[in-house]
Amino acid sequence: MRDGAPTTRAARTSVLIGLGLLAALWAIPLISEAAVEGPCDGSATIDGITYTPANDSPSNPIVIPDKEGLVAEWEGSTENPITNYKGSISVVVGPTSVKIADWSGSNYQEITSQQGSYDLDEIDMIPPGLWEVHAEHSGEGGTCSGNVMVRVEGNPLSQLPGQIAAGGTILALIGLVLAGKA
Amino acid sequence: MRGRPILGALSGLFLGLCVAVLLQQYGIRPLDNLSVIGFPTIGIILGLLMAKLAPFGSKS
Repeated sequence: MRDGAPTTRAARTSVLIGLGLLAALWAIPLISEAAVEGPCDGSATIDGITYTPANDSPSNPIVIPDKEGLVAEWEGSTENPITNYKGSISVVVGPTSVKIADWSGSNYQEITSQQGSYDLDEIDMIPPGLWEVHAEHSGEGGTCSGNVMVRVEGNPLSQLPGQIAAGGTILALIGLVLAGKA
Repeated sequence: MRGRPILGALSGLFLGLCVAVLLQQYGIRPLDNLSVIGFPTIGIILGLLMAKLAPFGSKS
């Protein structure tokens, strides 16, 4: 054992501690939230695959393929009419969320189910990756909320966020190495 | 502390954020609380440890 072994051991220990913390963090399971809370249900068919609120984990997300001209056929229902409603969809980013759509209305016809289609080319500005999407719909008659995972397929390095993150990772690693020099 | 703690902390913070974005972009983990807060925190700790234990491999 060399004279410098204690420092080297300490350095190795610190790196191991860091990797251990990282592994512990990684091992914390992504808690799958209750699919939908409230008297609502729905589904969407994209590229021949039907998704439900059960697609709420990173291993079982709603997949939006990197193709043009895709249309999502969707349907939604409530157990009882929800009138004077309002709702929104937002993307979860850490402790906050970014609203991407909202709606409101009276539903004076007291409709309990609806269906339609959505042109997925309209969301091609969303970078590829795994997104946690939160939706809620509330009014007189009930309140519904739920989270799903959505994976937008595509090459991350072809988009600015991915390029910045990749370049930033290299720069940050260089900075860490320089921080460890006297 | 013979290293550069400020550089280490900033680099660790930036590394954690970049790793969180890369994992999200590659569809591995969403930008949840653990990614957005946990990875940068670990990065800062790593950076400070690097600075505290610098220079690596030197005789003490």
